[in-house]
Order: sequence, then C-alpha cells, then structure tokens
Amino acid sequence: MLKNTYKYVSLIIITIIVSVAFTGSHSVQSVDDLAYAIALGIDIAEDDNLEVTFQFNIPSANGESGSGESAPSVIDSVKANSIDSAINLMNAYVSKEINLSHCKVIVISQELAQKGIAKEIYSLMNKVQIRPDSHLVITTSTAKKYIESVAPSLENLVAKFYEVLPTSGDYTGYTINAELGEFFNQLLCETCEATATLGNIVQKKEEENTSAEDSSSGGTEGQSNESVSAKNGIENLGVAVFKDDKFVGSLGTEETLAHLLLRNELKNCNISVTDPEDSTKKIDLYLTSNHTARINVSIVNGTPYIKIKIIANTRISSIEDITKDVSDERISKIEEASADYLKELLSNYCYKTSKEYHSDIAGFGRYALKDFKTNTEFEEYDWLSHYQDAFFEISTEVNIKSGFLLTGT
Amino acid sequence: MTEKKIGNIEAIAVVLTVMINHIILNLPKSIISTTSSGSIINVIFVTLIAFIIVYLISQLLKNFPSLDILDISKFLGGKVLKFIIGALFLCYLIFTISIVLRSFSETLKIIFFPRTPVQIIMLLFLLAIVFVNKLGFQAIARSNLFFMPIILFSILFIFVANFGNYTVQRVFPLLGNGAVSTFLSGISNLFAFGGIAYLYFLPPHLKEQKDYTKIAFSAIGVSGIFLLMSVTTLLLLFPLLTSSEEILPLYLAARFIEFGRFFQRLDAVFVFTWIISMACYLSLALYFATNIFKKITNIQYSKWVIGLIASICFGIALIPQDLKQISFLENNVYKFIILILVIGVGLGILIFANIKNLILQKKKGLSVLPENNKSYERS
Repeated sequence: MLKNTYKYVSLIIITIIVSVAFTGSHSVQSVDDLAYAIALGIDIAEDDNLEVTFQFNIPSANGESGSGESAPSVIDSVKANSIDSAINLMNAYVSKEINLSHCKVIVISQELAQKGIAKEIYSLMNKVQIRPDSHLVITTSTAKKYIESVAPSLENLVAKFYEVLPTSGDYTGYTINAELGEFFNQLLCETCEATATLGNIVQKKEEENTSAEDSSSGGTEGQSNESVSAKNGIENLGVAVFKDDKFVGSLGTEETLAHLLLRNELKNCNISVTDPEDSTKKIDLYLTSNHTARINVSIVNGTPYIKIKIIANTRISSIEDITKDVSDERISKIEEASADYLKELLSNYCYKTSKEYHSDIAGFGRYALKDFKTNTEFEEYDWLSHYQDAFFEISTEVNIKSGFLLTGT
Repeated sequence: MTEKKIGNIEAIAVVLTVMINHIILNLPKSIISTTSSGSIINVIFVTLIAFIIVYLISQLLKNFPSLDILDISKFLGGKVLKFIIGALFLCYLIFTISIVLRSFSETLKIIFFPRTPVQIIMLLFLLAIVFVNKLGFQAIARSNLFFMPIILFSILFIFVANFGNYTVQRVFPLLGNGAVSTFLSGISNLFAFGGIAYLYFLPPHLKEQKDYTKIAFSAIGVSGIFLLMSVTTLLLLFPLLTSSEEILPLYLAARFIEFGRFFQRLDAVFVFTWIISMACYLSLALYFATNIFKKITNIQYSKWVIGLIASICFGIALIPQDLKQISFLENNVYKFIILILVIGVGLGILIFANIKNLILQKKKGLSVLPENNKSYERS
C-alpha cells in the first residue's frame, strides 16, 4: 500500500516538474518566428547615440535560391544609446524576435572606432548568441552604407558572401580575417594591440563622376597602385589598427602582407618585384610562407630591440624569359631583389606601427615575455607604451624553388 | 543491492569524476587567477604533492584494510569522533553538491535555457540523481565509468583542436607572479585534487583491497594530466585577464574550435556530454553523503534519506543570491574546506589512528584490527 502511494506521489511530482519545465517552451518562438540578423552595423549618431543597422535574411526566399536570383535581405536601422537598447527597439518594430546566432559580420564605422569601441565589443561578447568567429569590419564609410552597398555578384546568399569574403586573405595577403573573439582577446592583451578588417565601399564609375560624397572611401593609405572595378559593392582590403580600443590608422594591402608574415598567418600570395636586370619590368612571384617568422626581442637599456628573420619560399608566376634557361646568377639576383623588397615592406610596417601608430599589432610583446622574471615585472615595464621606442633589425631570405608548369629554372 | 563492490577501473573513475567536473566548472580559471603564467609549473608541482599525499594515505590505510575514515575515527576517538568526522564530511558533500548544482544550472540557464527558472533545471538534475541513487552504488559507478571516456575525450579534444589558436609565449614568465606565488601560496591549488576525499571512503567498496594504492595513484595521475591540459588550453588561448573572468571557461574555449567553414559550433555537443558528467558526479556525491548519514545516525529505515539529503542540497543551492556569491563559494570556501578537512583533518585522523594502533599493538602484543574489521560490517 505504502509502496503504491510512494509510486503515485513520485509520478505526480515528476509530471508537475516536467510540465512546468516545458511550459516555457510554449512561449518560445520557433525558427519561423525568429528574425535572423546576418549583419550588424554600428554607427555613431547624434548626441553620442548609436545607429545600429540590422540586415535580415528572408528565410522563405533562401529555399528558392536555386533559381539563380539573389536571396533578398531586409536592412533596418534604429537609433539608441546602446546595442541592447537598439535590439530591444528593433524587436518592437519588426514582427519577429531578433536572433543574432547567425550574425556573420559586425561592421563598425571608422568614426565610432576612433572614439573607442570597448563598450560595444564587451556588449557583443557578453551575448551567448553572438559567435566569437563573427567577422569584424571597420569601414571607412558608415556601417549602414557599407551594409547597403553589399551586392554579391557570385553568391545568391548574402550570409555566404559575408562568410567567404574575409577568408580571401588566405590566398591574397591583402586582408586579415579578423574575428570578434580574437579582437576581444587583443583588447585585453598586455602584449599586443587589436586589429580588424578594413572595409570600403567600391565606387561605381558613373557615381564617381557625379558624386563627390564619401571621397575618402574606396582606397586606403599605403595601398598599392592597383584598383578594383567590381560589382560586389564593397571591398575588404587592409587592416584597421587600434591603440587600446581606439582606431588610430590603417594599413594598405602591402603592409597587410607584412603583418600576416610577422604573425605567421600568411598562407600564400602573389608579390610583384622589380626585375633586377630591367627596372621597368616586374616579376610576379608566388609566395608561400613555409617557415615561421623568427622573432627575438630583447630589452636593451630599457628599450625593445626586435630582431626579425623571415625565410620565404617562392615560385615564379610570370617572368618574361620563363621559357629559356634562367641562369643561377639571374635566379640569385631575383632572390636578392625579392628579399630586399620584403625587407623594405617589413621595415615600413614595423616603423609605421611603432613610430606612427604606437601600436604593437604584430604582437612582438609576447616574445619579450621571456626576458622578465615575473608578470609583475612585465606589467611594471608596460610593454605597450614602450613599443614606440622599439628598434628593429630585419633580415629576409627568399628561395626560389621553381616555376609552375613552365619551370624554366 | 547497494552493498555490491566495484572493480579497479570503476574506482579510478569515481575519484576522477570529482576532479574532471570541477575542471569543467571553473577549476582551471581559479588556478590561473592565483598563479597566472606560472600555472603550468604550479599544476605539475601540486600534482607531485598530491602524489605524496596519496602515497601517505595509502600507506596509512594499509593498517586498516576495508575500513573507511569513519570506522578509523571510531577506532581513534570512539562514537563521538566518528560522529564529528562524519558530520564534517557530510556537510562538505552537501555543500559541494549544492554549489556544483547551482553553479552548473546557472551556467546552463545562461547558455541554453534563458527563460527557464534555475530551480527547474536544478530539480531536473536532482530527480535524475535521486533516481540513480535508488539503483545503488554499483549502478552509479558503472554509468560513471561508461561516460568517463567520452568526457575525458571532450577535454582532450578541446586541448588538441585549439592548437592553431594558441600563443605559446604566454607560458612566460615561467614563474608567473614569482617563485613564492607559484610554489608557496600556489600550494593552495592542491584543492584541485578534491577527489582525495573520496579515497577515504573507497576501501569498503573495493573488490580488490590490495589494489588501493594502484587505484589512488592512477586516479591522481590521470586527474593531474587533464588538469594540466585544461590549464594549458586556457593559458595559451586567452589573455590572463580573460582566463580569470569567464564563466565555464572550457565552454568558451570550445567555442573557438573550428575546422574550416564546415565544422563549427561544436560547443553544444560538449555541453551535452558535460550535463551527463555532472549528473554522474552529483549522483556519486549524493551516494556518499547518504552513506555517511546512515553510518553516523545508525538509522534502520533509510529509504527516504536520499530524497531528504537531495532536498537539503536543493535548499542550500538556492541560498546564493548571484553568480558572484556562487563563484566566491566555489573558489574560496570550497578551496579551504578541501585543504582543511580533506587534507588536514583526514590525514591527521589517519596518522593518529596509526599511532594509536602502534601503541595498542605494543601494549597487547597483537593487532586490534580484526575486531574493528568485523565491527565495520553493516547491519
């Protein structure tokens, strides 16, 4: 009798607990009831408020992406004093609840970044929905305009476009794949400063002639004399440099290559060096970074002394006389010219980040850690403020392995 | 049903589960906040000390085969000492269950169930562990052993899969905040080996008493390796400030894992395995708490004891007001309970009991243990 009572009481308790536990799920909306933001743009508005732009994918349209037409997306923006208030406000406006778990990119305007974005980054990292691998772009125009300008020409899905675009740095060396989680870690790092991808709006030719608006966009300082004429509407080229949480400047495509080399993040890319035998001609080399950058930092009389050695392997991509026998002497001249080119590139990068930006974005500080006995000593030394006094000794070595199909070497 | 004994591997998993679950919660974070970049050396150091302590325990227990610390306390100071020691260990276990339950439920609420009241999550856990406890110790030990490889693999996977994200230079300065901090004040990180508490209660449950030393050393060795792995993961992955400020840091480390663009968001799988792991750990802790309660009260009708202790744990778990208080209890109070009760008092009881045994042997010229062994057998 008692056993049966015990069983019944247990069953009733379990039923009550389970039903209460799942009662909440009736109020939780299903996937169809959620509005998935794929991009988040943050601009500065009047009175130091934020203008937050949301780009939503329309889920029903995605299923029809096989038709070849781009899936439409909706762009809405709202002004509020914080990201959370903006999300709240937008939730009141759109018919569905906003969900950020598929947010691929966070775009922040340069203007806001110059004032400091620690609060915004903390706020984003504090959200479970936001993934640490969301891409972070600092745009020279407004974030809203950047998002509005996105018009992927080879992708139907904007989300896919956002996912793939930042990875182009892997095979071009022109941009970095800056992720939110990494940026957050860099903000808290005592041995390095933060970087983000630099984004621009690509001006369409007809607009270039008629509109002088946003004359700053479409190119960055230190950029090579190459230009893009494409339909994507945006380009991610270069690096946004931060000192603490403030944007202090940008690096062009060639400096980005140096940045990737020093951080051992370069997979492969093409470089053009001046032909040592004819200064009017260029030789294209395919650079593979099989060796890690050897960096040694020592503190000499309280000043950082940074020794860098880069060994790079290359293959000749294009050279005028590739089909005839290329002598060893010519090869070593090209190797020497390439090494000089890389040395200059690295030197410019190091002194620009040190003397101009005072920002150790390459993370040389981590190599200095071994010179200190305790963390307290390192904290007292304050590496990040001493980086501006750093001296560099750079040596480079380039080995040409061969050509590709037409070796000639 | 509950009195069946367990094999060596099951016993190793029992001790291991304590440490592994605290690693999942925030043990590595606590260690890193104490010793910063010296954490790797500190973990190696405290593991060596843990080995010495375990060696001492196994040697001291040799004179008391098949007896747990309560029986040894009875031998040393009679029923009063047995009651005091039992009550202390019971309080420790109830405290641990309550804090672990609340801490993990709060974390689950933040990550997965933002709209579910934390009490519901806690109740579901308690239901599971009370049900498992009804099935007996062997069932708990076996299910724990079944899931242990999966849980160990999850930690190993997080360690290996994050290789590409590591900044190796973060191990410098090797001594962190200095030699004193790493080796002297850092010795308090010995609390990481809280599984030692369960070693005091294992002897009566072992099939092979002679393998006790082997079991204890294996459990501490594996625990040390996984602690080292998790501390290394956090130290090399995050800046020091981040490593010491996160909730469930291994979960955050799991969020950084990605293999290309097609193999991402693995963290949900990890959390799923950790929920099972946590349920196994809480079941074990509840079993030992119930067992101690039965022994110190000598109650005949013990059917409702499991539910009673689970209810007490639930009540205590609701006391902390916020995560800050939970974190304080987890990192500070728990640490000192382990150091004082488990290592200090536990070892003290064993040492004095051995001295008493030696004196009695010398006086009577024979050992008094066989009688005590008989007295241990439960009615």
